[in-house]
Amino acid sequence: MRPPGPNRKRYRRVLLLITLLAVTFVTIDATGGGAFDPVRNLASDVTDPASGALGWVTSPFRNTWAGVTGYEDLENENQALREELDEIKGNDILETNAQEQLSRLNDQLNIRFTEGVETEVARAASGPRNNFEDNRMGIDKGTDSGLEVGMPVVTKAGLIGRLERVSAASSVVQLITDPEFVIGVRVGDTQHVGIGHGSGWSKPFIVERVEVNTDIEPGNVVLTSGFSRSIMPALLPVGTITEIVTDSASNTLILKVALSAELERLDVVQVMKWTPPE
Amino acid sequence: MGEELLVIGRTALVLFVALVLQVGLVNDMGIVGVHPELLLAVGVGSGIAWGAFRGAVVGFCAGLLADLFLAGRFGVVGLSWALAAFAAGLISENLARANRRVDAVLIAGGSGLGMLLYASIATLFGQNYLADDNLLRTIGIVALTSAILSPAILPLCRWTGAADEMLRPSR
Repeated sequence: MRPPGPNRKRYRRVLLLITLLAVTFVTIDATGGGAFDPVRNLASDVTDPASGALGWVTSPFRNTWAGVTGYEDLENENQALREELDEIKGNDILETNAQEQLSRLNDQLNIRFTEGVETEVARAASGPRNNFEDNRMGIDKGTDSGLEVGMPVVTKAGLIGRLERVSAASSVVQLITDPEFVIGVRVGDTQHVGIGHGSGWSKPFIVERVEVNTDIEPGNVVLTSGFSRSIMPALLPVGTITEIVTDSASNTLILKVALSAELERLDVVQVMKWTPPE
Repeated sequence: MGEELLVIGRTALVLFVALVLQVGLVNDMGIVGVHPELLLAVGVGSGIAWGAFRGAVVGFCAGLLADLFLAGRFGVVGLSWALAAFAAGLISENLARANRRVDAVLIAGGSGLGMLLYASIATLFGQNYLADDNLLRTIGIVALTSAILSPAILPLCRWTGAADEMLRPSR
């Protein structure tokens, strides 16, 4: 059964209008000027008080729900931790080397990576979450705490992302696992540099365009390069190299890097009040 | 005019409440990591209660609200959910008889379609959600939770509009 004539015209019109509007919005957004950021921030500011209060009131219920539905996750996590422990025992030497190398680098390069930069401690916040993997997280601090778009977000272990959107009392962090998160990196205390980017949740960080070099080996530490115009300050720990692949087409190395920060268990993070130079 | 304003006001209120519930509560109540999509359910529910035209409009608005809080290109969710709610409304208009079970199936189908369209259109714009390992699970759980919530959502959607426009008021 088809709708009668006038309805069909009306339907065509509304579908056309909606499609045109949506494509216009997408096109404007794709220009990268952050045209919708003020609206997005305003939406966060408007809903934050209500959703925050609701979140507080319903926290016992949500915690119970998490306990019930997350039981299997807890078991899996326990199992993973046991395996991790076994692996650590088995690879004691390798692990010690990596730790020693990082510790040595810290001493050599005087890495106290947040030292000298004012930081703001924030907590992972309940908030917008996509059912599909979008490599974002919410935190409970915003412009009221002096935060700005682009500031690096770290844990004690290393870099986890950068602020993508900032409203008055909350912010959205683009995680380092996002394929669109691209930064310049360097390998340890060498001068070897490359372009690093995320490759998805629970997948290694990828560093490309590294000159073929025998100095680089698994276990080396990867840090932010901090070159001029870089979106990150120098020497933030990113992770350690787990695998090296030679790209014969470009005659460069591709490095697979295990992130030093554990993104699965993020609770408290630090935002470095550092913005890229103009 | 007064009636239209009332309809717009009520719809806006329902969408706002759904948004606050989504952000403040439902996002943390996932089943195996997938949470219900209240705004999508409201869009599809409006299509079922009031037909394809209103479904498309409310679905679009619901999607744009969701777009405000998600990463990715603004407008993608709006378009996806508008199309899904339109489709649900079109089917609903053409059903001679319906009951709560049919409504639940429709809202589940519409919600599942909304998520599939979202993944597909987002993939066109560079976010490869179609390759998400959990795509089918996500679609299935969102569809199922929408069906479970339909006894609460559909009456709210019906409340938003003028009674003389309702597709199948006696139920």
